[in-house]
Amino acid sequence: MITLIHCADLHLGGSFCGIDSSKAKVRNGETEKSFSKIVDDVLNCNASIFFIAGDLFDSPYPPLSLVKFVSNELKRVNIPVFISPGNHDFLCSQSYYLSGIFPDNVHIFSKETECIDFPELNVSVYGFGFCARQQNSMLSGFHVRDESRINLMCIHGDTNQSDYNYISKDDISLSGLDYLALGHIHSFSGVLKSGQTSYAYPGTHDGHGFDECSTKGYLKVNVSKSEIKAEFIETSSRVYNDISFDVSSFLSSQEICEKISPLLSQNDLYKIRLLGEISEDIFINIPYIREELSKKAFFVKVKDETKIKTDIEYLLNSKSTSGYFARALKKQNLDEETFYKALKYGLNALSGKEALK
Amino acid sequence: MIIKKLSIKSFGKFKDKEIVFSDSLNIVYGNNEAGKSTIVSFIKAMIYGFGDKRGGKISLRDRYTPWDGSVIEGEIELSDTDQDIVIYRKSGNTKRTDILKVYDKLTGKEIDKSPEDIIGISLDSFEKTVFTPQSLTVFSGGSDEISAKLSNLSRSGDENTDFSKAINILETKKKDIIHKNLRGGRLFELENKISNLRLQESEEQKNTVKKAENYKKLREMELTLKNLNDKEKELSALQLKTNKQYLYNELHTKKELLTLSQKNLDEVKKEQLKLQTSISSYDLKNSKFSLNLVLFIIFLAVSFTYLPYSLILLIPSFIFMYFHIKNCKRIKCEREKYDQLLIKEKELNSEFEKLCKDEERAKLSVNSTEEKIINIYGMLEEIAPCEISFDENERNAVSREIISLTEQSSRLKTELDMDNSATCEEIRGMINTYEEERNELIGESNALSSAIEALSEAKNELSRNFAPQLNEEASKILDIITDGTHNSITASNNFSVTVSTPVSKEFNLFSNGTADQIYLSLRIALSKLIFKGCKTFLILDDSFNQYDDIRTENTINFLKELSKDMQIVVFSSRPLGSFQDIDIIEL
Repeated sequence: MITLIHCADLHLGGSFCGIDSSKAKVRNGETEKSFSKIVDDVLNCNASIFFIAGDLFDSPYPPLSLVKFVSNELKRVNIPVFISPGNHDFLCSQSYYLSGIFPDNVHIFSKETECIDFPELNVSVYGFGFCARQQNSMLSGFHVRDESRINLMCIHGDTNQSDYNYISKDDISLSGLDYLALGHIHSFSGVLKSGQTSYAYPGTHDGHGFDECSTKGYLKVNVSKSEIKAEFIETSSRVYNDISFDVSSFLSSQEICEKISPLLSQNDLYKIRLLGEISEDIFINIPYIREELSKKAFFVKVKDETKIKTDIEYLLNSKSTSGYFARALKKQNLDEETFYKALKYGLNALSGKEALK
Repeated sequence: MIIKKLSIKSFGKFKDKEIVFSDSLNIVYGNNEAGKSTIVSFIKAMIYGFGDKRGGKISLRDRYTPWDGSVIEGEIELSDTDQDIVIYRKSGNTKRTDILKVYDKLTGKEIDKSPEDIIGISLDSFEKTVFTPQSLTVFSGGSDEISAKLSNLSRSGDENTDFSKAINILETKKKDIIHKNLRGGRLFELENKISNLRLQESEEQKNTVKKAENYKKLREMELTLKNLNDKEKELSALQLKTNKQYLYNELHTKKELLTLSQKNLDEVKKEQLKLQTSISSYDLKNSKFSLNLVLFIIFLAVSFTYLPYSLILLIPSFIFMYFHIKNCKRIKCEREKYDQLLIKEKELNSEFEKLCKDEERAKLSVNSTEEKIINIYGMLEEIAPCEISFDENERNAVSREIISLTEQSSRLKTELDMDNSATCEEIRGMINTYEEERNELIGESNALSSAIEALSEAKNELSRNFAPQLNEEASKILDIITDGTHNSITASNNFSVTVSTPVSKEFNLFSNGTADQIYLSLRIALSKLIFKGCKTFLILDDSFNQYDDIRTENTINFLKELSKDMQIVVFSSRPLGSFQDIDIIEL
């Protein structure tokens, strides 16, 4: 049995959108620190092999200082490291991957499938990497050379049909591999099985945006010919949360803050969507709510998706000015979101409430 | 909503007075000063409050606070189809200390609604429609003002101003996002920022590729530099080797010379020694030489003593003399030779010393060369007796190349290390953030545009629907009142009201009486339209002062007919004839 560490999609040097640039810089540093944490763990857990299954960097030309940092970190690891370039950090002629900057224990896969044997471990490691932003299916037709060995593979690819090295379940089951270390999908897939082959996406190691909610980490996998045991180990420094909150029953912005703030954790990032129907006489003060809640978390973004509380059917039949307005608005055949937004603006303006803002 | 009862506790001249109205036509009759206007004001005050002194106008509070020092107090009972509502007011000194209670008459439960909401129209609309003050001619301005007033009525002021105000509010809000000319506002600024960042991004993208290229170049340079350094080392070794060979050769020559000179010296020394021996032997002989001289003198002296034998004695004396002279000559010659040898010895000695020094020097340079060789190779190499050729020019060229490459690579290195410009990813992050913000703003702006469009559309539709209906309704009423003399009112949006008799005429060309009738027609029509479908009251305060009898009668008949749908309260100082089944309330 051998122990291997499997991480992927670290996207170091990547952009952090949706948060202000100073906090984005903080996040940048934190994802690097989380990478160091993985390296520490590799050193402490007696692993034999370290897989980085693609998109280690966010771009094929990351900042040189970052490449030097990663190279120095990998120098600390005294075991073989395999990097399979992904669709973000694909190999190209000017790649730092090819510049010789990485230490000797790091092997970088390229276009052709390679096999590296470790006879003392009875292990064979296979892999290949992206050489362009997109890549046709590379795994189809692959089969291991010697089935008696523990056969491992580290690649970047998509188990959903796409232009990013599509990996079909059939290709996996026909491969003869014992463990297929994948990268591309940013959340932990669980350890899956196709035929006799186990495979997994560990997800990214630290979230990059509100599309990467929940805790993130890497996989510590024990592989033998008969058994695969994987443990998910958390490394994310902060957690992104996308929360929807029905505020229909609340009477003021203060109350909204009071009800939401106990749910927040000082360390994390939140996107809070306010939902529900709000009656005309309640004014939701988004800047105030954002400011208040920001004190309770690392970052807070508040989106007002509330609708104005009104009986649309009644309004559409009403002889009042609001009725005339609602009917005229209805005629415009707007999408629902715009309709309710415009309705809110119009009704508030007619009632003079909008002027208050 | 109709008025059922007025209960005046204290208002102007009235104390504890109750007036009950029927739900159809009511005529309140009283002479001048009887208090008709007071009652009209009471109704207004109960619904809309006592007001405050504003713009020099005397407020209801000031005008109707009783002289006896009591405060204004009273209630008005209104009736809807399903509810009787009582509005109670008591004045304080200011608006803030006024007391207002609205409650259900049956249950006594307070109703959380303002009187204005219960009536359904604002004071402004109230005064333009159901509440008709004394004849229009009280407006002291010219007739242009009257037509403006009428036209305003025809456009149902309230709604239109509501729409215009709302549109204005939203336009301002939208202007904050994007100006009409698209050259200002938050969205515009955001777009600018984004396009600037995009430029920066593409520039930075080129930079990152260039950086990677430069890094590769640097690595190549460093490799070349390493090769060149090796070559330089080799050449230096070669130079040393050549040097060493040369020095060894020189040392060898010098050592040979030394040996030769030493040999010479040894010979000289040997000779010297020989000479010295001979010199000392000469010294010994030198003492013999004195014996010869003594013997000569003795023989000479004896010869003189023994003259006869003198001749015989002189012969040995002279013989001794001869030997002495001969000896002296030989010694002199030997001495000269000895002196020469001494000089030669000195010369040889100095030559020897010089050679010794040369040897020392040669040894030193051999040693230092050997040290250099050890420094480079770690050991003293055997010098192969091969032909070593060293090209000084080649070495210089290599050195020059090394210097220039070192310079270039260090420049490149500093350039690469200066990584302080924002990276592509940082810029992309900012762009994404701004784009998200922009999309939100576009959404808002679209919603605002839609709302503004809908408001304008609603405004147009309202006036489109309202104006013809109003004109039609008002014309009908005027037709009845004037007995068919005037049958068409056209109140258009451009502040003009035209009334057609057989010939169309501008409003201001009619007599005061007719003008009042047109005005009344429009008001009634407006009230009917606004309260379409629900019963309302209509208050007419001395509206028939300038009517002739026929038109008054026509009007009363019309009102009688109208009172089936509307509660009508007419305040009049004229008896208005006698009508059966009409409630006349006398003050």
